[in-house]
Amino acid sequence: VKARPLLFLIVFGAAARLFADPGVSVGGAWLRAVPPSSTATAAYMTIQNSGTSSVRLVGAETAVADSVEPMITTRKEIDGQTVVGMETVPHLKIPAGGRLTLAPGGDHLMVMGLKRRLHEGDQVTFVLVIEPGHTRLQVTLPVLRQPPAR
Amino acid sequence: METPPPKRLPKAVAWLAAASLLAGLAVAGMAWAALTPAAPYRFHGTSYTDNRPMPDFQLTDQDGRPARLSDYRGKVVLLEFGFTNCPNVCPMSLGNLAILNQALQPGERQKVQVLFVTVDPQRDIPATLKEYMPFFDPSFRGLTGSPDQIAQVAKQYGVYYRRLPIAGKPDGYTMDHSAYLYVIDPGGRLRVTYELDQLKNVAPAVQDIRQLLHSA
Repeated sequence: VKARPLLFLIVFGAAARLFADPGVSVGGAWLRAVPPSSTATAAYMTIQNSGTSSVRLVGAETAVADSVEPMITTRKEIDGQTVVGMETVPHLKIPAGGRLTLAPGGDHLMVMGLKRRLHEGDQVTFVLVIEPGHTRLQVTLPVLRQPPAR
Repeated sequence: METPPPKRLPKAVAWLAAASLLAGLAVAGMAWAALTPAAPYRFHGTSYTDNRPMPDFQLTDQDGRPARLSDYRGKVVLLEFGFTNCPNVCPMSLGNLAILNQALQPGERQKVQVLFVTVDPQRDIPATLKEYMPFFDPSFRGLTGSPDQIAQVAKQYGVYYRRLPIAGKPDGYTMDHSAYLYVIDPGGRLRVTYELDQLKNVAPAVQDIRQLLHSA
């Protein structure tokens, strides 16, 4: 019981130091659990930019996959019907004083070439790369089957 | 001298009159209900009233056995097109269909079948689908076929799909595809479609499925 405040200080202190510098913070991050036969999944989160200029999420690094790339979900009308697709984009913008929401069915970080099976409940570390300044932001993502309850 | 009127009779008559009045009202009510058409049920998704059975198809299921749409006559079929390497929309919608399936009563669940037809038959062979489908729900079935067979089924449903190369990954590709759930009634007719995004809340679809099960 005594260790708790200390643990809290360590965790909170580390997070605060990591996030304070670029003025960018991450909330609600998670990685979708996928079946064993799938080599790709997606990471979701909300990135808040409290700074006075916009920043760009250009990608992420993780030990569990070959690559992590920003993707947008496109919706096109083809022959009168909605066709969804994905497109790799060089970056996703986070406006000054605004936020970027990566959510199922929308913009996301596509995680390709999974190197190991991800089980529900696993915790996976991502290092987000934010430009300008090549800021590296470490985030821990729980592996979930469904979006976390709000 | 006049005899006093019998006391019991009027009471009995009154009861009888009241009872026949009630019975009459009940009969009239039933007749009214039977003769007045109920307001038609309004589906939450896009409703189809063609009343035409969908063409049968012959594909291969995750166990390598032939699978036809007609195998599922008597059930409400929830059919979607996708591919197993789809990182975003497919696992989202199959996850939501699993929630939908659990929201049904066990008796209803036996009369509902989720089918996932791959638009990537080159990579999605039966063995791949056999690993993929039970992750979401043990009752879900994955279907594949030759590229020609898939193209034909896609055409029947008006489904669009195409391969897209991934920049910097010469061997990799992803797929663009129509994102709808097709709801086929127990008689094999296409009745409702939803955009897959609409399934984030399963309650309206559950209501629609119940309507199809109970009006069959």
